[in-house]
Amino acid sequence: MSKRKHKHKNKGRLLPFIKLHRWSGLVSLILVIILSITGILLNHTHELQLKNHYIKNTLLLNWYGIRLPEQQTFFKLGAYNLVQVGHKVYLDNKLLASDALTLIGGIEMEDYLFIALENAALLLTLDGELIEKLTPDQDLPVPITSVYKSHSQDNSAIVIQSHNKYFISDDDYLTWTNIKPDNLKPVTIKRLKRLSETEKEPYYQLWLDNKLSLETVVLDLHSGRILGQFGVFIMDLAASFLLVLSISGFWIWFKRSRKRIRHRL
Amino acid sequence: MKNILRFFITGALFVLISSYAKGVYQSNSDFIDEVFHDPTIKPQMLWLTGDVKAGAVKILGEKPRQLRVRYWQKQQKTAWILEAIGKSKPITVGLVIDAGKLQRVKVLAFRETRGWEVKEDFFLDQFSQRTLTPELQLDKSIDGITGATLSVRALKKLSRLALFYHQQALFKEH
Repeated sequence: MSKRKHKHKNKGRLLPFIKLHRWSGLVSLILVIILSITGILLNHTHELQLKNHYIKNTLLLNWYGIRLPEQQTFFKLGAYNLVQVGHKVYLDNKLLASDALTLIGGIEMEDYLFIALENAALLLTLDGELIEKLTPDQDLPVPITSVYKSHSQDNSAIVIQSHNKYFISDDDYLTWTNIKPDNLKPVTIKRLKRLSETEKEPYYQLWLDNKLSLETVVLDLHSGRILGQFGVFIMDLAASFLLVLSISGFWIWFKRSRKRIRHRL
Repeated sequence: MKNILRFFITGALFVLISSYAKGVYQSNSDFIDEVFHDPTIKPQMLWLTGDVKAGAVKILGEKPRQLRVRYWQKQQKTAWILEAIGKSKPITVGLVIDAGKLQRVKVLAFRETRGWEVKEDFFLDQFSQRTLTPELQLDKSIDGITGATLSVRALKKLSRLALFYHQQALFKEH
């Protein structure tokens, strides 16, 4: 048998492996690139601080089903914007609470700002610094259903309504005493001015800004979960192709090198 | 097979103990009633400004989250209910100080899944009679608990903080 024919025969035997190797490589090319890049990124997630970078892209946020919550309240409290989006309450850009139920209202007193939530109350300086978060543990009557500013008594007195009862604070907002509403004349609800649509816009972004971390997206790209169960299947397939690539590659190399050695002998 | 069974039983017990250990053990008002036996006692407040704030920052390693803290006092005895983050959730602790010495430390609420051992008496008894050095440290070291490092650290900080606040509250009074 001529040398040329022998070579052709060998190639013919290896051809299915070469084809398998080539197609496995081509099919898994993009997925392997994604797997490798995301794998490297995840290996250095701490150094790259992926956890602290947040996705702002609306399309991606929508893809993850992250949408603005229905609970939204926008008030003007003195010079401040008092805003609730979901369980978060902001005074201008400052996050005051992230576990708030309904925002009931706010009152600007002579020295303080008093913000009533359904399950707590926040006492702040006029500069917006938190003096104390008043909670049911500190005998604050909850749920707060309304908040009033008392004009008939001391100017700094706040009255809250809970379970159809009225409670007045002491001067320091440390204790609450049950009173009859008749004693409060006149009692007025502080009506707060609403924010305009343009003023509301930054708060939507503020709420969305730290919802989806870059780490989550990279992790989901790596596992394929970004496309749901289908994506996981695709990534499993890519991993299988990698396995085929390495096995077929090794087999081709092994067969060729064996022939080469035999030839030399 | 036996080992696998043992592994699962240990795991289940751990989860059960962790979830059982989590929770509110005593309300703030019950704690104050138990300490003073006086239903008429009213809270007072200590403003965290100036030197008080500086001391609190030194102990906590960060700015206190609130500008004032409430306490209850009868003669030389004060009671404080303070919170500190263990790993990610706050631990609520009641502390009683009499004449500059820690008399009692009690975990009132524990919300984390690990480190709940800090609520046990064998650990809390170490705080009894501890005082504060001029460097705002406890006068005697406190033994830690393996697996509860962060909770132990939080309790040590709170005890130093309460002793410091006690000094400031009595100083304010005079």
